[in-house]
This record gives sequence, C-alpha cells and structure tokens, in this order.
Amino acid sequence: MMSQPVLLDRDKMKRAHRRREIFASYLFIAPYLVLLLMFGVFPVCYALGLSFTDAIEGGFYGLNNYASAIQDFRVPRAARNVGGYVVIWVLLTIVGVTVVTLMLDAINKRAANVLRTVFFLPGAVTSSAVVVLWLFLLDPTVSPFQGLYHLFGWENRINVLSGVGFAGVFAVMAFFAHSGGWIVVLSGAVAGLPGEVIEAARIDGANRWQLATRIKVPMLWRTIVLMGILAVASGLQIFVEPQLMSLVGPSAAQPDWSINQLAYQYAFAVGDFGVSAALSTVVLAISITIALLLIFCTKFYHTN
Amino acid sequence: MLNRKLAGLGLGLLAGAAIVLSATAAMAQDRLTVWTDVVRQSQIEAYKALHPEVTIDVQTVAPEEVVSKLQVLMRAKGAIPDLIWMADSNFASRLSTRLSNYLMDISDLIPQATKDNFYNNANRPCTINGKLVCLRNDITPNVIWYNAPLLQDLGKTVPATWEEFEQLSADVAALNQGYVMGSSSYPYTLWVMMMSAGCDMAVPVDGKEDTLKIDLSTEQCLRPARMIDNMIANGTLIPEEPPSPAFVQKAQANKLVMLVAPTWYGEFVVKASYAFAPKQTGIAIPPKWADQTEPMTWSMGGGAWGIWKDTQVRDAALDMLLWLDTSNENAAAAVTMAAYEPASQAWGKGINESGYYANEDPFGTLVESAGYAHPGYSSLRISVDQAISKTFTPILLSGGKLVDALPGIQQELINQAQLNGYTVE
Repeated sequence: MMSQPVLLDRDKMKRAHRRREIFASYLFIAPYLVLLLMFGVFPVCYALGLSFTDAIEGGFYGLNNYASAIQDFRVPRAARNVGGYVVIWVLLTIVGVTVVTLMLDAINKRAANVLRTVFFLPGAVTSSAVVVLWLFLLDPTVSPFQGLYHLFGWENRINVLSGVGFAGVFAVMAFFAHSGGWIVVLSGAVAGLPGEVIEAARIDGANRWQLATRIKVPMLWRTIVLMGILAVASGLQIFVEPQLMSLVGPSAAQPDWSINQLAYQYAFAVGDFGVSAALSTVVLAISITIALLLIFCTKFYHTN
Repeated sequence: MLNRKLAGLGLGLLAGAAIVLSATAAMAQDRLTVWTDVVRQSQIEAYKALHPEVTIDVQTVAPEEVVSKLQVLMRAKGAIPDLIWMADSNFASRLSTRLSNYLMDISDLIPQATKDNFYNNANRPCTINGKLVCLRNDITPNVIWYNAPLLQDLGKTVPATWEEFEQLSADVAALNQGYVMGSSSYPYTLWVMMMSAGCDMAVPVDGKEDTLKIDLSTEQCLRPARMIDNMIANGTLIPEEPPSPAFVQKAQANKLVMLVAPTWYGEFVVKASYAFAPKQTGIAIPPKWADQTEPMTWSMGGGAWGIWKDTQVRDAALDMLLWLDTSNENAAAAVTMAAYEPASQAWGKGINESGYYANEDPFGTLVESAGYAHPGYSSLRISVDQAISKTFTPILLSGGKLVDALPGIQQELINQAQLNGYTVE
C-alpha cells in the first residue's frame, strides 16, 4: 500500500527531470536559433518578399522581376559559367578530399597530423586574400610556376586565365581554400570507423586499395554526400573570385561572370533590388533542389 | 544575475537612443555631410578652415563604393550625404535614374558665366538628358606622351595625323628593337583610338532622352580598327596594359616611344611608374585623321561633384561645390587639371614651372588638347570598356583582328544599352 505513491513520486520526478533536460537543451540552442532567424531566415524571407515587389512603386509586382531577370542577356552565359564551375569544383572536392584523406589514413600517424595541419592552413586565409595571392601565382612574369606556363606558350596573365579557363581557375582557387577543412572533417569520420570491421577485412586479406575502396568509402558515403551538398550550395554562390578579377586590369575583369555578381549589380549599381532579389531567390531554389535530390536519392537520413 | 544583465542592456539601449536623438537634433542646424575620397580629403579640410560657420561632416568613401553605399542608404532611408565626389564619369547617369534618383538638377542654380568658363564639353558627362546634375572637377582629354630623347635618336618627329602615327609604328617596328606605342588589350587605349574618327560607339543622341547611337559598321570605326590591327601585327601594340609591371619594364627599358593617354598620365604614370627622367617626357596634341580639320579626342576619367536632390542645406552644398570646382586656391593644390578654365591656370603654372617636361609650355599643349574634346564623351549606364574587353580579349588571344570583333562589340553594346533602359539608334 505504501510503496505505490513513492513509485508515482519517483515517476513524476523522472518526468520533471526529463522536462528540465529538454528545456535546458532548448536554452542551449536558443542563441543559435535567434541568430539563425535574424541573419539566416529573415533575410531569405525578406528577399523572397522583395522579389515580388516593384522596386520603384513598392507595390506587388507579380513575377515581373523574375521575367526581367530571365530576359537579361547575361543570365544564360552566367548560368553556364556557374554550372561549369560547380561541376569542376564539386568533382575536384569530392575526389581530391577523399583521396587525400584515405592516403593520410594509410600513412604514419604523426606525419598525417602534420600534413593535415598544412592542408588546413590555406583555409585560414580569407578568400579575397586568396584571390590576390592567386593573381601573382597566375602571372607568368612573377609566378613560381612560370616554367609550366611558358611550356604552354603563355606569356602573360590573360593568356593563363583564358588558357585554363575561368571556371577551372576559380575551381582550383576554391579547392585550395576549402579542401583543408574538409580533409579534417573526413579524417574525423575515418577515425570513427569501427576498428573490428577494418581488422576483419585485413585478416581476410584486403590490401590497402581494397580496404579504402571496398570498406572505408562505403562507410563514409554520408559525410561525402554532405560535402557534396555543401560544395554545391557554396559553389552556386561564387562571387568573390570573379569579382576580384578586375584587380588584374580591365582586360581580365569579369563583372558579370556569375549569377550572384549580376544580383549584386542589379542591387548596387542599378538600384533595382527587386530583380536582384529574384536572381538570388532563383539561386537559392536551385541550391535547395539539388540538396533535396541528393538527400532523397542517397536516402541520406535513413538509418540502418 | 540575468535580470541585472538585462537591466544593463536596457540602460545601454536608452543611452544609445539618447545619442541618436541628440544627433538628429544637431542635424537641424546647417550641417553638411560630404563624401570624398582620400585624395580630396585635404580640399574639404581647406574649405572647412575657410568656413567655420558651417559644420561639415566628412566621410571618406572608396570611389568604387559610392554608388552601392548610396543605393543602400536611399533604400534604408539612412544618413544620405549632401555632397558627393564621383570619381567615375558614369556615376552621374547611374545616380539619375528613377530607381536611383540621387542627383539634383543644378541647371538653373549655376550662373551662365560660370558654365561658360568650363573647358569645351567639360560638363558633357554631367549633363543627363539635357539637365546639368553635377560639375566636372577635372578634365582628361587624351594627348600624345612621347619619349623625347628616344624619338630624336630614332630621327623621328611627333605625328600630327593618325596616318603618320601608324607609319611611325611601322618604321619603329621594322627596327626590331621591341619598341612599343601602346596596348592591344587595354580597352581604354582601343576605345580612345576608335573614337578619334567619329565612330558611333554608344554616343548619346542630342535632344532624345536616353537614346544612344551604336553603329560600328561605318568607315569611321573600320579605319581606326584597321590601324589598331596593323599595329598589333607589327608588335607596337603589346598585350600588356600600360599600368602593368611588364609594360612598366618596357617603359623603363627605354622601349616606349609614345602613348596616347589622358592628361593625368604625365604625373601619375609616366613620372610615377615609368620614372622618366626630367626633360624626357614630351606632350603633344592628339593626332587628327588626314581628312579632319582638327583632332577630336576622347577622354578617360575625370571626376565631378554632385548634390543630393533632397538636401536640406542646398545653398551651403552649392557654395562648397562651386569652391571645390572653380576656386583658384583649390585648383592650384589639386592633383589633376581643373575642368574650370580660370582655375586650371594655377595648376598649369605649377606644371610649367616644374621643368619636368621636355616642352617649353606643356600646359599650353594640354589646354589646346582640351579644346578638341570629343562632344560625345558623356556619362553612360553601360560600360563600353567592358564590352570591348569581353568581346575582343578572347579574339586577340587567338590571333584574331579587331575589325572582325566589331560586330560582336556592337551586339554587346546594344544588349547592355537595352538592358539599362536605353533606346538604340
């Protein structure tokens, strides 16, 4: 008779404790949530609203801003540029980062740690500074790779830029700036792989190549897909690299190379925030669509 | 603890609001907000010293950020400046549209006598659809900058016509010494040469609002384009751009024979980068085509001051604008040739007395060249230089000709013009 209420009490306490825990977890994510709403979600909603607004009168403008954006003669070329860049960069990132990470996993631990830090270093430099640095690397008169450029017969910077192609140049720039961070992330995932599986494979006679391609990569696919999604999302927004090409001189300037640059020009050169918002919204929509496709096609959130 | 923090935050906010309020109260007095670049900051300080009765708020804004910052401020209804420095001649038209309507129409506020004292066509880039929306600070007609001792050693004289200019390039190219007379990829060089014969490469049509004439198929365009192609073929126009390190090397190695470039090149490029010795740099008036009675020279750059259309301190802003643009004391200390003829004399005296140039009267040559300023040099919402680069650079790199690039450049210009709301003729 006496034990019943005690049990109930204990249950109640457990539930209260659990409630407190949930409350605490919300408290912990609250600062992030507030910032996300202020600087992430709100601007997106604001841009979405702007894209349906007449930039002069301020009233509802229907799809006119989208129509203007699509009719802009620069858009198809910019879309091709960005598309080419994203393909090159995403492939470069996925293949490059995975290969480097697996190779680091196969070598001596201390050397791997040192190398990972070295790979990470360029990522610590802001992308605008990286571009300026690259402008020197790409100049056959001062670059340490001038021998290579002369081999192709490239005598000055515009030769190099048009020889490699802007999409390729930007992809290489972005790869060196961002791959270090991803190598660290993927290395973390590799370290978390169950040791017994790898041990078992090794006992069954798998060599390093088989170990990497048959055992490790299939277990890492989730991180690799995530890398792909984020690379696509940031790749579609390319802005700094082409924008700073004007530093080379007017003959290499690329003011309308990417979609985001066009959005920038609409807002800040023309003052048409409506079309600018429409272009940005389209880029966001494409980015979300690709992410969703990747998530559903790879059953990203399915748990085994 | 949290409560105390919140209270502190509240107090902070209150204090902030108080500061904002008091700032707004002060704005009601004669307070002028001026945007300038670093170079012209000292001029604002000089005006401040002369006019202690006006409170001047100076903000240094990077020239390339002026338009974008104004767009944001006008949209957010923030602290919009009353007077701005516009380094790029295209700002005037960019800031006079329905979407970004910043500049005041000062046509009736400037006395006719003052307007008349500006150099020939100097205020054309400040005239948008017939309205004067700014006053030009400095003019930049293109002239010939030549290496006087080198030209003498070669036994040549300064060409008076473009035909002679091309002949000279053929002659020095034949010597196989790597002599240079300009750049093949620098869009401004190409633009300046293209405009010399009266090519309609995006020129406003008088009396018609927002209308441009774009036609690159005429002989006036083909003639300079053929000259450029010949000079690229003989190697006197090189792919490097005049400010680039490789070009500077050529100039310092005594390989630069001459260059058609604007008025500011002498002080800022030839003297500063090419490091020509005193008396090495000669200035000559721009060439004309043999069948022209006088030269017609395109400009490159030249800034202007403009006033906000809704300013509360119009008279103060106007007074300052006129002082900056037309006063002798300001022009004498300026770094470039004033657009206001009487004020430019003070600057010219300094140029002549410096003894740096090979000519007896270098300023006289600049003044004469200013008289030949192309009437079509105006403020546009499109970039002709970008259209040239975008279309011609790939063709140049694959060994193609400018003559063959003209239809592409024309199409790019028409597209840009229509996109920016121009009617194309």
